[in-house]
Amino acid sequence: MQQRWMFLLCVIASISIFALGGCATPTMPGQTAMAPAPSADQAGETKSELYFVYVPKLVHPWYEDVKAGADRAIAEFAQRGITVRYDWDAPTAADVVQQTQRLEAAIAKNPDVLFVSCLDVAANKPLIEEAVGRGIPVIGFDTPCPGTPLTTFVGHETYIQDGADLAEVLAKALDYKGEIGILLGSPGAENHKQRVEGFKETIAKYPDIKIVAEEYDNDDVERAVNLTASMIQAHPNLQGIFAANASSPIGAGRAIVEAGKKGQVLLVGMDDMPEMVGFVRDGTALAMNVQAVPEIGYWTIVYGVAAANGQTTPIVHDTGSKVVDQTTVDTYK
Amino acid sequence: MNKSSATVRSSPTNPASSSNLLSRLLATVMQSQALMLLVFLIILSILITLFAPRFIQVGNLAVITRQTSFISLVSLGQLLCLIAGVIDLSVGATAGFAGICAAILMNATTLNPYLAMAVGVLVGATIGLINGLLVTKAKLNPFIVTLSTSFVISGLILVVTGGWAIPNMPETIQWLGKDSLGPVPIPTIITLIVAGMLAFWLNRTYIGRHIFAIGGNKDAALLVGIRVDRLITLVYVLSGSLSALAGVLMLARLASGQPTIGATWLLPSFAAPILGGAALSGGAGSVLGTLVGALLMSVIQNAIVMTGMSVYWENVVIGLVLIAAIILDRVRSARRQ
Repeated sequence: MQQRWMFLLCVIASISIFALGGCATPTMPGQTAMAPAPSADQAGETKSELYFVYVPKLVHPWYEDVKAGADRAIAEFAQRGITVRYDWDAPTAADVVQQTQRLEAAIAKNPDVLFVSCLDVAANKPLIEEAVGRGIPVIGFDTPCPGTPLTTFVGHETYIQDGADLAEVLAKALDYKGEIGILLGSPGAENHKQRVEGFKETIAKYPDIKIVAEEYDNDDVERAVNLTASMIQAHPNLQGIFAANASSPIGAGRAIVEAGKKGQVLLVGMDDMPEMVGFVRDGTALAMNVQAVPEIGYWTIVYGVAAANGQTTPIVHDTGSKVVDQTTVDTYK
Repeated sequence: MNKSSATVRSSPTNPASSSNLLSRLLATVMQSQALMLLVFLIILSILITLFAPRFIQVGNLAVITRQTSFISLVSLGQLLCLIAGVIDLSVGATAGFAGICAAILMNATTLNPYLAMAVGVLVGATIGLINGLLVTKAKLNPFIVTLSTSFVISGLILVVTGGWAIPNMPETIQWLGKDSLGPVPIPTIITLIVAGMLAFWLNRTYIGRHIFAIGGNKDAALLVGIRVDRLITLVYVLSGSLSALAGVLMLARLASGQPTIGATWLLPSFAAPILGGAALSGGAGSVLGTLVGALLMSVIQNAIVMTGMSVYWENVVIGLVLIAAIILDRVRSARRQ
């Protein structure tokens, strides 16, 4: 009997922990659980109260900058007398089933505009079509969703340029010759793949640069440290490393420091996680490629307001990315 | 490291009967899964060196042993659980949580960083204590209990960090992760010391032998007066502490509290002891075997980079080696019977 009670207690405890986890996702100021404001749909008149729903791919700190940009746009609209509220309905993991549930719920909330970060085109497509069928404009952000009736896409449309830009920086620093390695990221991630593709295409222009090692780090810092450490051992003449995601530059940087190869193995990598910013600042890393993440949030709100009022918005707004090195690391933001 | 009895026994007493000696040596090796694995590892290393001569260089061996130390510590914790006939699915999450706790203490308080690491290990011990009490006092299934605590803890890591890493750990502790004493990495030295103490404790003390007895036959252990509940709780406390130690050392190595640390440690924590002769049914396993098992997995990962093979093969190879190890174990136990 006691056993059964303890088991029940455990189940309740674990359920409440999960629920707690849900509550702990940061809520935006002014965001409430109330039903969406009924949109007074009078032809030709600008709506002064709007309600949007964002469905990102997962809970991830990267999106905090998206929200920051969105809030900036909302503050600007508020000065013009337009109130924008939004819900941020993030799945706890990058899981197609979870995201589908979030999207279904989001459509049921009947927002003025729905924002989607595409996790899986095949799974997202029918839901985007359903929303559009119900007269809800759908704007894509973060990751494109080709072949779906998106009103607009805001974000990075192709990641090829990310890799190409960093390849140019690395090639120049190596004086267009030497041995380099690549941390490829996760095997399934389209953005990692495209960055590597762009990187290799550019490196191919310089026949004296040889790619001697390519390893999948699975977007995992610890794996990236170990693989880079092994890579440095396997290729004593290794002079450069390209790390194709946000986690691998951190691991690669640590391995370079550990091996005492700072300045001998040049690192270029994606994103500006705090550790990577530190590596660029102290010279462990040559450069990082930074997406204009707050811009994504800002323009989703701008186009959202326009789309909700039936105005025409661009098909794609590529917010792009830029290379940041030691000279610009303190001023790039 | 565990001074295995085999090396003692095989010391030449009668040089005249060298063939006799060889057969005795062979018999000793055949009796111990740990030694057989060690022989296998040496043969594998020779083969790898033929393909990639740089494999055997001191620098590379240091890379391998450094990366092995963290998973070794976690695996030693799991080994204790397996010997006692229980299981700890929360080792990875505990390691990650201990690291994050220490990182937060270092960043947000003026607490001495070494003390912060000690608190991290204490946090691990506490998680172990909770696991142990839930298993022994509440009589809950170890699998369910530790699975649940692992969910709770990995969830708490996200709640506390919001998914962000905690950067800029103090310089003073970083030597624990990245420096070496001569050619030997500091984490390796720490692991060897811990392993030596554990081996002594398990094989040369009453309490250690009692843990084997519990795993071998719990009811018999109870009948002869072994305090089963208390020792199982102790095993969980040690498992939590060892995992936490790995977590805080990884914090020192990465110089940042990474919320994902430990997430991939659970399966290797089983693979290493089992490769080294531990049984899922309890009552068997060795410290030496666990270390060699962990080393074998790191060697395979390193060899794949060294030889330029596709890294996809890593899991395939480790899986095959595991199956081979289990079959070997079967053959040996069948022969014994």
